[in-house]
Amino acid sequence: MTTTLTDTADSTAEQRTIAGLKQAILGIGYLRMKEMFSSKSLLAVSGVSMILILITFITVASGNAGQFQTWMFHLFALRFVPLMCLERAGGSLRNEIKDYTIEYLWTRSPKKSHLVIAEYISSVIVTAFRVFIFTTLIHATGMYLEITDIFSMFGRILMIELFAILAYSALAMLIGLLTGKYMILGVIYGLIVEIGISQVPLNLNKISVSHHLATMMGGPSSLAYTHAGANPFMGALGCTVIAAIGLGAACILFSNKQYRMGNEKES
Amino acid sequence: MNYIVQAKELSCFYGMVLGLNNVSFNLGSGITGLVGPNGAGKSTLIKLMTGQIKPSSGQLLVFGQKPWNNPQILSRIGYCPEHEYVHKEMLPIDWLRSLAMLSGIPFGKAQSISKEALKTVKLSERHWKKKIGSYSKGMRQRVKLAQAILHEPKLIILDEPMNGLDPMGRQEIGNILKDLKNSGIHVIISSHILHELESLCNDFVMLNWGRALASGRQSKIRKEIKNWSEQIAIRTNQPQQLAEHLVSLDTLKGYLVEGEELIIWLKRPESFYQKWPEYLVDCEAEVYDVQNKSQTLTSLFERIAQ
Repeated sequence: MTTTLTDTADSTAEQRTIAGLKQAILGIGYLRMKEMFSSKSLLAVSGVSMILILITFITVASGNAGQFQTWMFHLFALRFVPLMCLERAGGSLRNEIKDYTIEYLWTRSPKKSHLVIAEYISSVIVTAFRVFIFTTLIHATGMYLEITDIFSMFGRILMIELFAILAYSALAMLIGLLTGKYMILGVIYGLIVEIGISQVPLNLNKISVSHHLATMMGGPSSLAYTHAGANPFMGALGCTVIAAIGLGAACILFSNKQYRMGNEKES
Repeated sequence: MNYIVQAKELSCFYGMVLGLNNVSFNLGSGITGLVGPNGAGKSTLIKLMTGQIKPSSGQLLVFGQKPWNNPQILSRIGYCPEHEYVHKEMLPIDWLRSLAMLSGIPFGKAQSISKEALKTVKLSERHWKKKIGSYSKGMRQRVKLAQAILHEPKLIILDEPMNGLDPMGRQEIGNILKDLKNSGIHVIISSHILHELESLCNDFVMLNWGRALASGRQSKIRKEIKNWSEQIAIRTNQPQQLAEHLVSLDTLKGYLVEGEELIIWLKRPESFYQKWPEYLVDCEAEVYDVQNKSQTLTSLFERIAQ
């Protein structure tokens, strides 16, 4: 059978409403907010909250501000928050691909890049909301442990965590769209770049988010939790640039790559 | 003629695995059935039509344009996937509302449109407050269909929508599709159970092993088949005698006797049907049952696939 591709249905006969970025953000945002407040999700957040409070009790001695700061910044903000971003943003579109539910999203009119941006914004909001709860609980536990002047750094910590979420979520999204084994690849990236390269005293360490977060806080990430020498603007700028690059790359990748659902194979 | 979907020398491969191989056809308005066994290439064709994958070679146009990364075309398509996966933890209204917004429907209107879609697919209101995960297969199928019609598409594509449904559920989904067709929506539906589509579709694309064997109306496909002959099964008390009588009148291409059943292949169906009562009277055989075996879609597909 052969045919010629003339005589087609007039595609210009009807101009329809195309969902733009705003509609994509609203649609995906609504979906994710409903998921965030599902009983399953709230139960998970409660469980993690309990574990973090327990860790605070175990790792911080009563009245020891230094231990509290190390736990809060070096472990929670620089290690735990990136893992949260990896799980949340890395899995946002990847889990839809795994579960086949992506078919309901990408067969609609928003551009694929808009879907990525909408998922990114949703991931950032969901993660930031959870991190705010966890940070508050940890500080409340610190207060119970009689850590002096505990809330003086609360605002700064939240700001650092926000920029960490912005940058790590973008990188996690890119890794998630690259491979179904995004948790493994993300941890490898973290070990090499965020833990390894960030400590190297060369300009190369600027490719790591943790370097910029440490700049926001003041001093190299492995050495200090101190206000002295902090440059919040440069640190925030570095995180923003990394976020923009990661998100842009994720948009390009998702728009052009053909995914095969379920079995994790891509062509 | 305005074609809804046009394929020209369309091929799609998954690495070394064949999806579709040099397929060409035109699909017009109404309800079109994509038929063929599992692995025939139906789902691949549907994924190409809904812009989920790109052709390896050849061309596929929907409403005259390529669907891959084409929001203008995707806004005119509603898609109901084969699989059962849905956001199980959500209420149907919430799920549909988010998908409605993704289709460009404003936040304020999304809820009323979602309710309207659930009413169209006849999902009883008492189930709206239950999570989709608790739904039966038939109810889930309705919600999946509802999400496909939310944005008033001009073309709805359904991949095996009858899978796992009981006969009543199939009939209900069939009736909904007929209503959609009557409201001017084009429907493309795939199934490997051919008799499901027989009463539903006006046109067909028959696929097997990634190739399009035939397309168009059943009657047109039959005419295009060389040496096509109608096959009739007759249950009678004298099958051999009746067969010999019909052979002597030069009406048959061939026959087969299996117990009480006589299967005959006709030379000229029109004249046979005209004279059939006379033949029976002449032969004096008692006939209990007569079935035309070649008018079914299944027999047509089997004939073409040979």
